[in-house]
Amino acid sequence: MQDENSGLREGEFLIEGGKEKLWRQVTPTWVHDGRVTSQIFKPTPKDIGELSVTRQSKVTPKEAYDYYTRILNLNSVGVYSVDVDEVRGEGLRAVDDSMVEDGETRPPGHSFIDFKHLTSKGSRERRGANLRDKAEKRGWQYRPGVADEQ
Amino acid sequence: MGTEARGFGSWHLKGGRYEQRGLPVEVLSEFARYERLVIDVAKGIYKRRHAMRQRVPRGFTSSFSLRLSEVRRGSVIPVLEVAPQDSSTLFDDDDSGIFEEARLVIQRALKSIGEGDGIPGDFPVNALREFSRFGRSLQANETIEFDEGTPQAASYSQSIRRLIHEQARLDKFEIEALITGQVTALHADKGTFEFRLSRSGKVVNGHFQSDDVVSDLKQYLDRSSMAPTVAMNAVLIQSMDEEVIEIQDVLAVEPVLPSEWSERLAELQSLEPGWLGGVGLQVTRRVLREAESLLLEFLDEGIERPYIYPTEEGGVQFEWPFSTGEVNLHVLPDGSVEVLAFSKTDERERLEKFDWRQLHEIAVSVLGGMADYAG
Repeated sequence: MQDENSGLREGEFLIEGGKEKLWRQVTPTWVHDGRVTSQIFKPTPKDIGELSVTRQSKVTPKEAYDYYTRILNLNSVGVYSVDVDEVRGEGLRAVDDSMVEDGETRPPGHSFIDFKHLTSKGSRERRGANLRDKAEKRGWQYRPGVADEQ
Repeated sequence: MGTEARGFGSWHLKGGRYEQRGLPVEVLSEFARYERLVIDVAKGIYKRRHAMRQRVPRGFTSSFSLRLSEVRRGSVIPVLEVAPQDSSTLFDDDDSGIFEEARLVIQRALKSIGEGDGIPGDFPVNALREFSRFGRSLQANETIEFDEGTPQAASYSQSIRRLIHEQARLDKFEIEALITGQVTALHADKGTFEFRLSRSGKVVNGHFQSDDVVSDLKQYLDRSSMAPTVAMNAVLIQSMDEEVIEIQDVLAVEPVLPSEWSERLAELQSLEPGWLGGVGLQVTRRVLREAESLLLEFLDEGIERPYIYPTEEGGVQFEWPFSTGEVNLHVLPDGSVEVLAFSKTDERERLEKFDWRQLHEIAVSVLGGMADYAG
């Protein structure tokens, strides 16, 4: 487990509420036969160890989806989620960086799951797979055209 | 004039496909080849006996016709009969049983070759070509037993057939076989195509007799980096060291991978740059072909189909998720492959790296991971 506040930049803070859900957009080709890849909860090289999510206390999954697809003009087939306790259970921390003032525009309620301290490929993939399993069990939080998944 | 059909020796088909009930319809053509062989041998006997004659009598070929009258069980016993013909004016007494003689000449030749004594000197040279064609659909573990349990008994297998080719100094060998590869060119009007063999990467020329296969060949046609790997049941011309020289005819073509596997690869092929949140490289055709080769290996090894995904760097990831662990395989754009098997309950993990061509070693690694976490 990381030190609670070590390495946080100005404007970043840990998310406290253990049951708060964190929304994660699902890229269309990362669903095969209805199963989402474990890559969805593992930072890719572009993420530099920070896996982007948005907070339940700030936006609904539909709002998160709409911002991602309409404002950012990116592809998503829907929203998966894990909660903060599940993130902690994997020895990771959930960090809100929506207040950071570095000139970058972030989606409302933007946060990240911090993988930066994990160096081995296996340790990142294991946590990604475990978080995917938990999100999968919870099911889709929002999918366009499907009414009551929240 | 004979009015009733009469038996023409006995056959017993054993091994391989013949251990199941019924006669595989694809071997029916073997009887036609046997009929031609008997006729050619009979012609040779006739010409030797009538050295002054340039040709066999008119109607010689049509005077002999075989019928498959019955297929008995165990393993498979086809019953061949000679159809009744009026050949009384065609042959004198010496030649009246010439086709039966031909049958026994063939069996003596097979016996002699099988015993290591080679093709008998009196075997008609004109029949060697047909002799080499007969039995081309036999598979490695299959045999034909002629007149089993009699002094004329003889056995025929692919290994004896190969000896016939060697001893007849035929440098090419005609065989029906299944090959895998890609259709890389098609000239429908000429009845030809080009086929890139998976095993060697060599491109060979092919021919087809029936226009029915054109649509199949066309369906799978593309440049070698794009075309799907197909299994082709074909009549091949092989060298004596089993190298495919040419495809003489196409009997059937079908994709090697089940359609849902290949369709998923086709989906990955259509990804645009930026497919992952504005980043995400395209998966190149080369990487997809490597992924396809791995899937073919897994199919052969009986490994269940993985979930298949693109990766941000333009690679392909296969995933086999289990409740206590997971096996992930990553085909990287540089031609390397990583297999990572990890526990979901503790810190155990095993990462192995390969060149994508180490197909067998990769399959072994995947199976090892599955043994740790599946079930």
